Amino acid sequence: MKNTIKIYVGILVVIFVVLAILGYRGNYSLERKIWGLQKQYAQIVKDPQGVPDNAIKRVIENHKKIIAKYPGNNPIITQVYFALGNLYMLRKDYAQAREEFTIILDVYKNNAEADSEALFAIGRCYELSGKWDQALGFYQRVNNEYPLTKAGMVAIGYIGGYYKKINDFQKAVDAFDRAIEFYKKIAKNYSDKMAGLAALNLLSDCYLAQDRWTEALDNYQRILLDYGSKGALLPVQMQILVQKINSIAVKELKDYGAAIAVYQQFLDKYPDNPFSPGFKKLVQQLKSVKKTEPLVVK
Amino acid sequence: MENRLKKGGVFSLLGESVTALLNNPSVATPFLTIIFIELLLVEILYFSTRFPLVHFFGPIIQKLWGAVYLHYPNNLLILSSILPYAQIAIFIVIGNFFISMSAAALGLIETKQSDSLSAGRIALSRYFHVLVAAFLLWGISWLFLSGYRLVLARALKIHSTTGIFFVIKAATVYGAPYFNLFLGCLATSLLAFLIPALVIDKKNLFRAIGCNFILVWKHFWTVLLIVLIPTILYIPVLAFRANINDVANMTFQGIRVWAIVAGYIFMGVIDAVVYTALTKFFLSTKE
Repeated sequence: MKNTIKIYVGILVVIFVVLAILGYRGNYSLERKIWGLQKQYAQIVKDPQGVPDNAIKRVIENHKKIIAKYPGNNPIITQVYFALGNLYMLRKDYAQAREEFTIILDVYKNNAEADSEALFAIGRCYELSGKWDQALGFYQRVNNEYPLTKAGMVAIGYIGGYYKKINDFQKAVDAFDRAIEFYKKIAKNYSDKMAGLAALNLLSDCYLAQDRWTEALDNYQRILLDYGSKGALLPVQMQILVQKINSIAVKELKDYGAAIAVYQQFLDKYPDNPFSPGFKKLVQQLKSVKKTEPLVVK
Repeated sequence: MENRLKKGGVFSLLGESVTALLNNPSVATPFLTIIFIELLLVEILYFSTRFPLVHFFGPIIQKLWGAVYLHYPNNLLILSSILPYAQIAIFIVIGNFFISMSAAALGLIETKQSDSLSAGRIALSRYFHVLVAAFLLWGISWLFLSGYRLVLARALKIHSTTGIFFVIKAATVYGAPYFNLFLGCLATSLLAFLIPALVIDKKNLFRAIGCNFILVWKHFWTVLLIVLIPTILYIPVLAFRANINDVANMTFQGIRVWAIVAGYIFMGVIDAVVYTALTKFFLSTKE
């Protein structure tokens, strides 16, 4: 029996070693190291004020070590660069943070996602250090140079949000109008594509920021009908969309009928869609709540 | 056997089965093979997100779980999602074959015909019957677990935060892994003598089932204890695995894999002792 155990253990060890050697050329060990860094980073983000400066410095050093060990433009390392920049931001060392984000622009020259995120982050550094004009320049640059990236799309709407936050309503309205026009154009030119879906979601955010509930609801309905029906939304995304529709209809418009109409239109158009049974149930529930709680509605 | 049990009790029988396993490679090797196959599967799945296996498993994982599960540490979560299903398949298709091989070997030893090749031949010739028996055992376990799931669903609807109903809810929810283990033991006990009856007595399936139920009816509590006592040793592993998320976050993510490996080894050893004891008990009823 001892021999059998030896043979079996031997086979398992040999297979393990062979697979480990063959797999070594991939990014797995790097992913493990980055996971360790992410845990350290998350610990600091949880309570930046409560973490001693030495501890943050140590984590910064750990990030630098990984960057030094894996030179070149491995896409996985971008998150280490960003975490490093963010750590400097947490220490309010915005100049150093900008420097780290600028390195990303040099290292990842042809990576639109990384470059746009870096430009946006540089803008944030200027904004947080009170230099809005420079920040605005970077936000506009991200949008102009990388209009189809996540950061490029977010940036233009973010400008309106900034003006709203500082109560400069005229500038906010102007900025939101520009953003709405941009998002509508992207949604039209890239309909049936993920960029179009992202643009529609951001368009809704602009309407919500301005309390334009009906337009926001119409826009969510468009997302539901154009994308939800084609399987472009994951179940969890569909759940969030439904929550948003219900929230606008019930909380803001105080009209259950508005939500019911959205789902009914989906059911009429796509009766055999996998989401349809769920919507049928939801419509029934909303109808019964509408009957029992009329005071909430009006 | 009843007299022997009265003398030494269930513990004595379990001790004898450990001795039988240690002294007879032909009885122990089938169980070692089951553990080996399970660990090999863990190994393959562990490396499934890395070159070269990722070429085969990558598209499947991406389709079923999403691209993030191809990367550390989410890839480790897949192990605990896939393995229970793989374990059922191994149990039905291969596991029961090796259990029947071990039972046949023990039967041959007891009748002084210690030929491990014959045990393999007997198990192979009875494979179809054993396969059906495995489906039957899985079916009974599934019925028990489905029943428990209904109880669990009802318990989750309890809103009490104090009092007896809260205690019932807490016990049902937090005790789920342990209740499942007990129900598994119960299912094994109900079909305890099916495999020995199939491979040692070479009865046909229906006669074997009848013989099994007659024996289980006569010795139910003894059989349950034979299954239950060694299985208790698995509880620490179960408790460890139930809290694996917290443990992994406090230590390292790879501990998830070690917990699975430890679970398979423990369960393999426990199964070996239980099935050998049940076979010995079955043989003694014929004395």
